[in-house]
Amino acid sequence: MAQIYAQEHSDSQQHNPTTSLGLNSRKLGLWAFISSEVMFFTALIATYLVMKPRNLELGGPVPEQFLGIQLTAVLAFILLMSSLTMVLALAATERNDQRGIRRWLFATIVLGLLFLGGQVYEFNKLWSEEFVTVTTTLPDGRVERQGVEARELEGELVHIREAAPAGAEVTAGQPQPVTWTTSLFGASFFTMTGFHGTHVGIGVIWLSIVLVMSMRGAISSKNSLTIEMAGLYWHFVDLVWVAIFTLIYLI
Amino acid sequence: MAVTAIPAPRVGERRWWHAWWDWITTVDHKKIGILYILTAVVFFTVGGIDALLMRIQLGTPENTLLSPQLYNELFTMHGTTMVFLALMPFNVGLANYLIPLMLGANDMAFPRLNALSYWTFLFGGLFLSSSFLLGGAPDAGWFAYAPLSTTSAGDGMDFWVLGLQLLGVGSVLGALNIIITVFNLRAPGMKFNRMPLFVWGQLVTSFLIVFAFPSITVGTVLMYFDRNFDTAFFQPSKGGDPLLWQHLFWFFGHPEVYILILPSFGIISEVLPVFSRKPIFGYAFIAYSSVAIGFLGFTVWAHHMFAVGMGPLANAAFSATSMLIAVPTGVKIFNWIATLWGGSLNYRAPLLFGVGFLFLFIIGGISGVMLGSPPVDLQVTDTYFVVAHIHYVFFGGTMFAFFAGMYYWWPKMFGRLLSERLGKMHFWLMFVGMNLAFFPQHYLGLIGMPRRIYTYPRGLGFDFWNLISTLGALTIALGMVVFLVNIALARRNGEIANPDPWDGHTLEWATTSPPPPHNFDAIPVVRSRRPVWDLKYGEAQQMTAPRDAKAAGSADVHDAGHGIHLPPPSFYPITLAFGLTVASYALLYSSIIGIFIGISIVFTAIAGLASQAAKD
Amino acid sequence: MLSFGKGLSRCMGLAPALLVVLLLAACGTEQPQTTFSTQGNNAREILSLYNIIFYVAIGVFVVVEGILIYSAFRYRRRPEDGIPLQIHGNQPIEIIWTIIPAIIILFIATMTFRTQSILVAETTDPLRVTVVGHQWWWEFQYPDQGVVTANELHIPANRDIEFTLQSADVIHSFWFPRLSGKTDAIPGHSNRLTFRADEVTDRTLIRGQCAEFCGGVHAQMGMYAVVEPAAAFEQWIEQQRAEAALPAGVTQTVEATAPVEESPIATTEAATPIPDVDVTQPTPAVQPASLEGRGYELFRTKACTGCHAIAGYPEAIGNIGPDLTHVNSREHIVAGWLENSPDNMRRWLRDPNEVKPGNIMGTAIKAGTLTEDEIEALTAYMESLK
Repeated sequence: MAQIYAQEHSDSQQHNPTTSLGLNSRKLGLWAFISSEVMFFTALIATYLVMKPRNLELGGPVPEQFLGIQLTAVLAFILLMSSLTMVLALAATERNDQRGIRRWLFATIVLGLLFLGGQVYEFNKLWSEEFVTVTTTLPDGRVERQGVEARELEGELVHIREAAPAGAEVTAGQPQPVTWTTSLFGASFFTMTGFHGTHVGIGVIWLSIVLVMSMRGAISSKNSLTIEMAGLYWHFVDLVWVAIFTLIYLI
Repeated sequence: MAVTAIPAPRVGERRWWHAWWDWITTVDHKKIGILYILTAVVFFTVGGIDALLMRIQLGTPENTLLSPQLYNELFTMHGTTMVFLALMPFNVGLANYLIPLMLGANDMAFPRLNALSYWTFLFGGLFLSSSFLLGGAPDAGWFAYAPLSTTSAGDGMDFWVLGLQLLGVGSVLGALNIIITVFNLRAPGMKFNRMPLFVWGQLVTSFLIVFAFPSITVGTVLMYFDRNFDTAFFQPSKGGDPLLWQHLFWFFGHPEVYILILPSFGIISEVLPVFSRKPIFGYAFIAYSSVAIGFLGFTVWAHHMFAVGMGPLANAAFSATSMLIAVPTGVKIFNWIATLWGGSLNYRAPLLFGVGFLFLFIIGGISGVMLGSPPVDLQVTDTYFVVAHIHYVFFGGTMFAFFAGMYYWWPKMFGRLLSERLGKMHFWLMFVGMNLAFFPQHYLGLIGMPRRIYTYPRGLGFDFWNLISTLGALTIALGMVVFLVNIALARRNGEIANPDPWDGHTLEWATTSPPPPHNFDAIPVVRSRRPVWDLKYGEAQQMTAPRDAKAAGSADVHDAGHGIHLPPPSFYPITLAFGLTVASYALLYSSIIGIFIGISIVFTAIAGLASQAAKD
Repeated sequence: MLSFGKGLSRCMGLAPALLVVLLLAACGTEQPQTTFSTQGNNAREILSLYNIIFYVAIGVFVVVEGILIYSAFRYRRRPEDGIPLQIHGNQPIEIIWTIIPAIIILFIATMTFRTQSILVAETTDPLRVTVVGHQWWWEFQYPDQGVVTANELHIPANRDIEFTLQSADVIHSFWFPRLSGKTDAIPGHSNRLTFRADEVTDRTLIRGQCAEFCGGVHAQMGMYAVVEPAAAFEQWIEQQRAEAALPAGVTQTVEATAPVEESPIATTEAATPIPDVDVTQPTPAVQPASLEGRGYELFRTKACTGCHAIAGYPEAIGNIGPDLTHVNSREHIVAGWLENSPDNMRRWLRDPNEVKPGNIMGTAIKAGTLTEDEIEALTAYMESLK
């Protein structure tokens, strides 16, 4: 797999004078592929957003309350940092800093793996712990919902009942873990984040292969396109997470 | 330009398996194009037989020839086969063959990816069709509405879901290839507004594929989960929403019909000028209206859902966008008629089909506008009126354009002309058959015959026109037989073609029939939209060596001879496609080992492809 | 072979003949589901819109196809032809032929929106009917009158009817072409459709059909609307409210239970499981004297009660098949597929799959499941359910 993108004659990989647009075909191809992937995630996110109100109507889990926003904010930060290290890897490639290439690629991979680890931890928590949706029907007919961990239900119910105005009705749903099949929320959440995680995983594999190449001395400023393409994919994966994070956790 | 006959095979040097190996490992866009087309012909015949059986069943009321189950499988497979395994590959096959030639390039941007797209199509089609033998074909309609599709017993709908995923991979990769090729591999002087309209049509189509397919990919993934993992995306009993499927499907499904017709617009825009001996009337308008249709095509999808209860405001909005898109579509027709006007019309088979296309597509377009009006639609949707409309635009439109293209470009591909006699017979049988089969169906829908019914009772007034429609279908079948005979015989008996048998305008006619592997020895510098016409009838043209159109990123190797580097044949594309198919069967039968094996094959093939790419 | 000219003139010669045949075929044949002969306000509004659009379409067709055929003929290549004038385009003309279609489209759109606003106009004192689509029959409930029936919908003429459309399983579509456009019945949703049938002097039968593929024998999911004067409708309601009479010599064995009120929205899991027909069940000790009475007993021992409901028959509360309380008051059976007659009832009971292959009753009752005597008795009992 050496010399994947060896271009002996062109100095700059940005501009390829022999193509009609002057742009490298493989890079252009990756951009086009990424635009397709963007549509893919758009459809998944749209599905999640459509399912969200239906999920609540059916007494499903209330995302904001039990998704650990602290953990996922850290994960978002990790991914953003990994994009930074990717940029640094590209910079190192362009100035032919072999040590730098390896260092920053390695850092990106580690951060990617950390992200994946965090996702696994979060999934596991949702899967194994049980949550209850407490519904408060106010006298004027409005409905408020809160998600409570099943372990803390008794104590929380007391607080909620105290806080509720007179005439309000407070009911607790069934305790259930948040899995793929127990609720609409689970189904769409795990599908969306699952596919994103898979894309991160593929990115990690890709970067690992590139790292091995660089350890064999196959990466240099002459074929920085290799790093650039991997970086392009990696930034895309990061951006998708920003969108997901915003939509699930912040809105 | 050298005028050569078909290069003779070197006697004695090749064994019989060399030919097979050639075709299996080819990355030559011309061979891949031919593979696409011939495979699509087979699938089209299969889909046609599905239809013929259906029409025979419906020829008489209360017929018991076919059981409801078999009928439901047939109409599901007819639609799925025709859309994904026949019409799309016909268009992609022509695109593959012609785009590099029309652009003056020596291959597509990613030849190995090109081969992969074909093999994925073939295996995906075989996978889908194997369902008939493996417990029953899909039976919930090509549109697979939930919850019928999510609760349908047996493996049929899983074949559908997985088959479409597999086919989608090939389609998207193929579209990416076309986009990059058109952007990056044009001959010197060929600016965007000098490209043949065929290329414009395929370019817009490819963007549509890239942006529309993900929607059905997501939909089918969610459907697979609903069917196999007890999720509830579309199951109302667990809170899911059947309409979510409809939106995901039609957001893809409507652009899909433009994917099927835009290439046809491109073909017609090539054939009519050549056979009128005039340039196309209003090139710019046709090019830009194609782009407009591409964009607008994403705004109309819910006109397939007027009856689901979205509310009058939503219905009105989608009605407005649907009527809007009729304008750029319809106006093209005037451009084409204006191309004929004042020309010198040479009524060989390509032009017969071209004029036939115009006649039939106008009818399809008019019925389409009617369907865009929700009140009218609420009576005629889900009836034979819609069946009439879609067949006028798919058969009268896409297929007639395809046949026009076939008769036009066959000599370039194979070095021999198709029989003109058989071609005319083919045209008339299909033209008469089409109208007999489908025109009465407008009426049948208006007098209340729903669609997707395996039979109908006596006494509803449907009997006579159903019989006529069946006779029309038989006539079409006869026409298809004539076509198959024509292409079978032409290999040996066809009149030998010179490089430019039709007095063509565009670059593909500037090389031999068939072209050499590297396509061009020399190409004219492109100074207009009709470089070959200029060569013959314009001022003296300057010739140039073809661009060193290398697959992007490959090494810039200069041979002593042509200075063109073509990637060598590869076994990895078919292997990758095979691995994906193994994984698909494994997912169908829930075999973890199978999935593992399939993915391993896929990764091995990817590694092989990458190492080959490195040596470019 | 044929030259273009010869082929075309042959086609032209055929055209008038075809037109005559078309007209002959149109007249004289019954078209119960035609949209061209309306008996309801919705269908009428839609037809008048359709006619406008149709005439515009004819105009466009004649003009455009006419120009096409003209140029296709006129500019055929002649041997003396040189290279024709190389015209690349003409912007003014192109602009004109963009604007004209746009105006036509705008006209059609305007007429469309006008009709739409007419169709969603307010209703006055509607009669409420709940429609539940099942595979492969139609359930009709009259919530205000407390009536549940199947496959034959009675409505008073000249009064707004407000339909609530639901489904018990998959997507169906409720369509009476002579009365109104169609609206889908989607599980998990409640769709509304309102229309008013024209005034009638006598009861008038109008046929409808499911118009969304619902699997299996979707083709045989028909229904009838009986449009009748208000007084006759009230009579029908009274008759339908009554419980089914017990045949002579039959004693009830179980306490009556409350009938099912509203149909639940979309529960595929909650559907009553299809009972196995146990053909070896012992016959009751005391045999009822009448044939209908024997049929009544068989209705239980053959487990029909598992799928069908009959008001007044305590065990019969199934919802998988149509309500049979007044089945013999209907003009048709098997979802509009067969005329209601003893022979047809026997035919259905003998082998449901022969009539409607793959339907749900056919999973329990196959050819030979019931003996001829049993069929006679059950038919007699069905006949008694007026």
